[in-house]
Amino acid sequence: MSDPALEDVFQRSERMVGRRIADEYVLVPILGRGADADGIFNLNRLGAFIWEQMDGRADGRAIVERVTDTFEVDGARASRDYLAFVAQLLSIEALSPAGRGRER
Amino acid sequence: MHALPPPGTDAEALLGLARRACPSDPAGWAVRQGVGALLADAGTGDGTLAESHRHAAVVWEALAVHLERVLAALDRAAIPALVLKGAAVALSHYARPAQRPMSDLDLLVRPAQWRGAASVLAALGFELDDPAEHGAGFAGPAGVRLELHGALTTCPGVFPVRFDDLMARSRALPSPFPGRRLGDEDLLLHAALHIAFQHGFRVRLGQVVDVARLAAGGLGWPVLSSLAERRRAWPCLASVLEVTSRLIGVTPPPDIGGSWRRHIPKPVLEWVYGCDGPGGLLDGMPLARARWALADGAVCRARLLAGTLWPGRPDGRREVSPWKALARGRRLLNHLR
Repeated sequence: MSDPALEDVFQRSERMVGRRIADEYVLVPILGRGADADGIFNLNRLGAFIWEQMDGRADGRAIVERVTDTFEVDGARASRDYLAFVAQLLSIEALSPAGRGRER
Repeated sequence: MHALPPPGTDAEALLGLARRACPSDPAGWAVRQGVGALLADAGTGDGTLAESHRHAAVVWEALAVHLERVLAALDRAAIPALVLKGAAVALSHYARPAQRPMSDLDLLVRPAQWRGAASVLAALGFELDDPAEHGAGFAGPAGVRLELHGALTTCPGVFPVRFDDLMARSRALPSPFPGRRLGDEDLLLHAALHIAFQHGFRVRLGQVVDVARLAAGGLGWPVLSSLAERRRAWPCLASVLEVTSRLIGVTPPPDIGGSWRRHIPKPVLEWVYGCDGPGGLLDGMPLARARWALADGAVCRARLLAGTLWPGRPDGRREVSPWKALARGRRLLNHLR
């Protein structure tokens, strides 16, 4: 897949389950073969927030707006961090594309 | 004999034990012995223990996700299953499961349904990678490991038990897990068989703490006593209670009868009292010697020999032909002569 854009809409993949543990958030793969030895992925507070917004309806701009409303970060930095994080989630198949530019 | 401490009050005692066993690095010793998370959760210790607790919590979440999926899938396939060992104890005898670090899940199914259960696991992404006699290891997604058992121990004929009897005494798991675990008395008996017979007492302290917690948790001692009698498991149970008593200072209540120690085989008693400190006890005794001593009487020893020479598989079939087993027996006799 090409690099993610703010217009893209993603949804959480069915191959991952997210669990909150105290101050941490982990993604647990539930599909794939044992031989892959998939690991467990840790998300920080911002990562967990973004992950929870990935509902298949909100696009990147809407999510970045929520990030800037919730965290002390400017829009440009939030957009960069968001796109880098989404690229990471796509690389581990934690997200799947759900279209472009809806529910802005 | 003294009363058992209630669960959760033994952190200071465990830390004291760690300090005696490894004065240079008690926290590291506690983590290696599987009690680091318990100590950290009790507000004891340093960063090593805190990290151990964090790690145990993360691993537990992964195990819990998969336990829930596996139990639901087995239920859909109409294959009754019982959760054993770490997960069963963690969900019933610890305030939080992450206090009890574990690296895998253990499930027991009827031997006749073992292959069906293995197919269910395969459909969920678990791959068989460690076949053994009484159970087999599977590697699943997220690096989760699961052992699917068809029997509780190696040489299951030595301590006979029917799956339906275990199921009848089983308890429901807490929400959201859609399944059942061994009943408390069966959990303790299985812990004793596992520690004594399966591993020759070479276990981590965390498993001994499980025994102490099970013993402290409102156990039906007369039921346990009767089960141990029927399954010829008193030597294992009494020996493990003695080891637990020596390590953590926990002994059964008086109403089990003061004579339980008479069931401890002499070689085990000599080993227990010949050991130098907790490290020696946790190093265990030679496995073959332990198994021979713990097999209760001539019948059990005959079953132990038969099970060793003619091992089974988790699905109830035999690993080798009876002729090959006889040949093994002949070789053993020649070796002994």
